[in-house]
Formats: sequence, C-alpha cells, structure tokens
Amino acid sequence: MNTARTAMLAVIGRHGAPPAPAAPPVMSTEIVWAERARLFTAQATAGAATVVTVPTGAGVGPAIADYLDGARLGAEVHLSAPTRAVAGLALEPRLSCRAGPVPADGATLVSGCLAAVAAEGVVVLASGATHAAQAAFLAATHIVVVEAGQLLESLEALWQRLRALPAPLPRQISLVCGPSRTADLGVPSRLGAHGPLRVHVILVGGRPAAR
Amino acid sequence: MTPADMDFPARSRAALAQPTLQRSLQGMRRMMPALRSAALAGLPDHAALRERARESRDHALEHLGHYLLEYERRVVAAGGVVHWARTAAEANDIVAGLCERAGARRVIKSKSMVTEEIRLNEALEARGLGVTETDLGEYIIQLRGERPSHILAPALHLGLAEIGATFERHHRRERRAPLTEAGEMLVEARAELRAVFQAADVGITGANFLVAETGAAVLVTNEGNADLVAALPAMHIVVTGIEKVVATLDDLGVLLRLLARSAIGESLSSYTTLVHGPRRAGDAAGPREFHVVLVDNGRSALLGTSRQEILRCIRCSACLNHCPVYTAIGGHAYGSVYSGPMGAVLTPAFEGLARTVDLPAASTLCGRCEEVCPVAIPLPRLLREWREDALRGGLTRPAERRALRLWQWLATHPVWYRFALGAVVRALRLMSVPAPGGGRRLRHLPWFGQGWFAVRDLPAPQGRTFQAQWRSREP
Ligand code: SF4
Repeated sequence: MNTARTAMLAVIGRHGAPPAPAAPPVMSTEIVWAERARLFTAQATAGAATVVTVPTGAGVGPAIADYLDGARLGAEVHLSAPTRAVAGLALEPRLSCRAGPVPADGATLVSGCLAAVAAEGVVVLASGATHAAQAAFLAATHIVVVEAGQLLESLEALWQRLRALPAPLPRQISLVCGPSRTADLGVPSRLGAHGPLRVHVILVGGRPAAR
Repeated sequence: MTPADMDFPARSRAALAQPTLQRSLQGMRRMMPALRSAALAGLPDHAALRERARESRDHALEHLGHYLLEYERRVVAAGGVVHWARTAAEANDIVAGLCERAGARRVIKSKSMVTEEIRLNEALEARGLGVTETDLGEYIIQLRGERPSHILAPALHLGLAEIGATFERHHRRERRAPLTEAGEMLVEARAELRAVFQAADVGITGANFLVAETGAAVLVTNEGNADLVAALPAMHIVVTGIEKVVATLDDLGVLLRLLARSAIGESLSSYTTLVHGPRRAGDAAGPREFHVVLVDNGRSALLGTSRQEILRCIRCSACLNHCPVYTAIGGHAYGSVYSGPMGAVLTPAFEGLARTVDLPAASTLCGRCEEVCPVAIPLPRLLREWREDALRGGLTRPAERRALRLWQWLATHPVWYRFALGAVVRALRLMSVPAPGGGRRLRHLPWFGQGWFAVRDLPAPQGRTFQAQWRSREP
C-alpha cells in the first residue's frame, strides 16, 4: 500500500505544488440566496403577498416606484425600520418620503425587517426605536424590503437569530405572510380586514450590497 | 355558566331547522377536510411532526409549574407583571381591577376563548366599562348579543343577510341602499373599528401559546386585529389558560407548522406575533403597561389524571370541522363555550358532569376527531370515560338506563336473545318491500325511526342469523 501511495502522490504532486493551498472555494451565497428566494416567493405568493427581486440595494427605489405606479397608489410613502436600502430611498426622485407615524387609512408604508423566512414565506418585523408595531397594520399598503443576509431558510434559523439578540427580545415581533384577511363574511376570504390590503416584498439579491 | 333551561336534544332540533346554519355547516363538511389534507400533504413528514407536537405539549404539561415560573421570570425581566387566577371570578376581578386602576373607560379585545369561558365581557360591563370585540366574527355576534358557534369562526351560523341587517341596525350612517355586499360590509366594519381602536384605553388579548424560553405571548390571527389591540392602547392585558405554555421557540415552531394547516388548511396564518413585555425605553410606540393573567379555572384538576391529555389541545378546531355531530348541529346546540369533540370533553370538566351529561353522549365515537387532532388527543376514549362516569354516577336518562338493563339481561340469556332476535328479523322482513335493484329494503317502520326514514331507507335483514351460521359451521 505504501508503495502505491508513494507512487500515486508522486504523480499527483507534480500537478499541485506541495506548500499548503489557499482556502478552497466556499458555497456561493448567491446560489444559496437564489434557492431561498425561489421558495420564499412561492410561499409568500400562496399567502396573497406579491414578491419581486432586485439585484442590489440600488434597485429598491425604482422597484417601489414601479409597483406604486402599476397599482396607481401615488408616490407618497412612509418609512419605518430603515435598514440601509430603506434609508437610501430618501434619495429616490420618483418617491416622496414622509417621516413620522403612519397616519389614517390609505397610506403606504415602506419598511425594513428583522428577517424573512423562506420555508414559510414570512417577513419578520420587530418593534423598536425606529418601528412602531402598529404602522404595519394601519397602512393600506405595506412594502417590505428584505436585504440579502436577512433571508433565512427556516423558522429554526429565525429562532437562532432571535436567541442572538440581547434579552429581553423586542416588545412585538410579527411574522407576516400576506395581507390581513377574514373568512367571517363567507368564503373566499376577503383581504384588508384590519391591516393592509396589499403586502409587497422586495428581496434584495444575493450579492453583498455595494457600499 | 350554562342557562338552567338548557336541553341538548331541543337545541339540536332547533339547529337542524336553521337554514343559514345548515348551509354553513354543509360548506364546512364539503371544504374543510379537503383543505386540511391538502395543506398537510405539503409537509415532508406529517406523522413525525405530529408526534413531535404531542411530545412538546406533554413535556410542558408534565413540568407545568417549572415552565410557568420560567415564563413569569422572563415576563418580569421584560418589565411585565404576571397574575395568577384560580377561578373565573378571580381572573375577572384582576382584569377589572387593572382597568379601574388605569382609569380606563373603553376596552378593546381580540377573540379569546378563555375570556368567553370566564365571561369577562359581562364582568367588565357590570363595572361600567365599554368592551368592543375586534375580531370581525366576534364583533358581529357581540352586536347581536350571541355566543360563538365555532371556536375559530364565531359567526359561522350567520349569513350575509343577517350580518348586513345587524350592521344597518348598529352603524349610524346615511344609506341609500340596503347593505348586501360582503365587500361593503368589510369596509364599513373596518372604518367603525378603526375609530374604536384609536380611542381605547386598554387592549385585552388571549394567547395561542406562551413561550417559557423568551417570555413570549404568541398571538395568531388572519385579520391582524390582535396586533392592533396589543399595540395601540396604553395597557395590554393577556388573559390565557395555564396550559398554553410551551418550553422553547423550537416547540413553538413545531406547533405553528400544524396549527393553521389543521385549522384552515393554510401553511401559516397571516400574522403570528410574539409579545414580550411593555414598550422599552426609546421605543417609538407601544403600551406602557403589560400584564398577563394566567387562568386555572379547572385545568389543574385534570393534571395527573387520565384526562390530562385534553390539556394538549391547541384549539385548532379540526375535531369540530370533521365531526359528524358538530357539522350537523353547530356549536350553539352544545350550550357551552367549547363545542365539538374537544368541547364535549372539556365542558364536563369545567362545568361539572351533572349539567353537561348530554355532551359526551353526543358522539358516534367514529374516531375522526382523534385522527385529525394535530396533538393526537384520544378524544373518543375521553368521551367514553365521561359516559362511564355518568352511568356510575346515575346521571344518565332513566330511559337510557332501562334500555341498557334490558339489553344486559337479553345478552346474558341466550335462549331469550335468540327468540327476540328471531322475532325482530321476521317482523322486519314482513315489513320490507322489493327494491328496484333487487333484494328488499325497509322504507318505514310503524313506531320507530321516522326521522331516519324521512330521508333514507335500510336494507332488510337477509339470510340466517350469526348464531345460526355459527352453530352449523363446518368443524
Ligand atoms: S382537540 Fe385536537 S383537533 Fe380538537 S381543537 Fe384541540 S388540538 Fe384541535
């Protein structure tokens, strides 16, 4: 066996210099993200949400403007839980961004999120200094921006992420899988019972957002 | 409390004669089983998940004291207060006391079966507080002064015409045409309730689960009303049963995967919210006070008994939706807050068997409830146990007892048994008529089973009796 080993390594060795190699290639985050994005889209769509993907944070503003144009919802949006891509919307010329609490019915809310779970098609919102829990329920349209690193695979991955936060956890953590609906007025269910009539999710692609 | 004039057979007859209720139940029979199985078929290994769910619930119940204390510790650490209530009266006093101390006048609620059980609304109204239910179905029946007829769909017994008429009576607004369209009703209810939400001083919710690991009260809805009830008023009170606690977030994940699939045939409800304590320093909004009332009201008496298993129940309603008795008569006939198979097991424990003896009897013991239960509660066995208790305690109806005694006597006297059976078989054959497809059928009997024969017939007995065949069998 030793002879064979020596003989084989002698041949193989000529095809790769003996000093330790550099790190082997890792699993592409883009591939992992694309798989999750596909699953998320299928699940969230089943929950009556709509989903689009954009390659980088720079695409978020135009994607929102296109969506609002298509649904004839005007250009005015309220921002909440501003992650990087959401904060950047202030510079989007086609949107008029409002600060402060979401007013009466009819408003459009654009918010970041804590995470999203592909297997269940949910976005996860957490209350805090920059997000009032009720905003996501008072708005008529809620647009949620999910950054690449926030798209998790399963509920279990979400629990891990929550465990990593400092205790106590945020006051109100909501897993949202579509618009508000009710079956109390017969079937099929009707949308917009108390909360939003429309939930639109923008998944920002697997490439780390350009700084 | 059940009205003293309750009589299960009379209420069932009334329910069978209610066309709107019957239409809803028919829809339920047609749709719910298919929706549920389709949703569960989407799970890679439903059986394993169900087993894990049963284990999670059993583990929490076996160590209930430990996990409740753990839960309390987390809630207190987050700035909340936990109250313990042995009875309905204690729970109502605690909640009313909190409202009064806060100087509250208007209370909003999201649907909670525990608050129905303890009659919280009546208790608060008796103290001069205005209470508004915000789950649409619960709001409708509150306007009508009715009780829920299903644990998830409280207004199941009502049709659009009745709901429209209710809104016309209670919502003050200009109308040019009667309210007939569901979309318009929704817009109207949404607007009415928005105003109520904004003006409320206290919000009361139940909890689908309590998570000991993080101190979360978990609210599951499709409407999102519980989230607003929890977020808008200055005080949020959670009123829930002690059995709702689970150990970890992982347990919660297991149960969430099964809850909506079993309940409505969807993978997850629109909103699942984990609430931890009051608002934090620096938070943009949220209630300043957070209280949890842990209600016993008869639950702890089931611990360590053969009936402990019913405490696993996660109130998904699958056993109601699949029950041939529930889907024939609906929830009001049961005369109790909880209906269907789970209600027939729980209610005698909460209200005493003497006044609820008909409920465990109202089952064919077909076993579908146990089959569909996401936490594998042996409902038929528990129903049989209540029946045995009823017989031992002399609580069954005299006619039923006499019939059972006659049967016992016949079954232990073979000669008389053979004679009686032979006579019945001959009589039935004489009364049968030839059927179009061959053979003979019974179309009616002179003194028995008029209800049955009104809509169906029976095959006539044919061939020899089992005993005769047994005697003449080849050795
Ligand atoms: S007994 Fe089982 S099926 Fe019935 S409501 Fe409870 S958990 Fe659901």
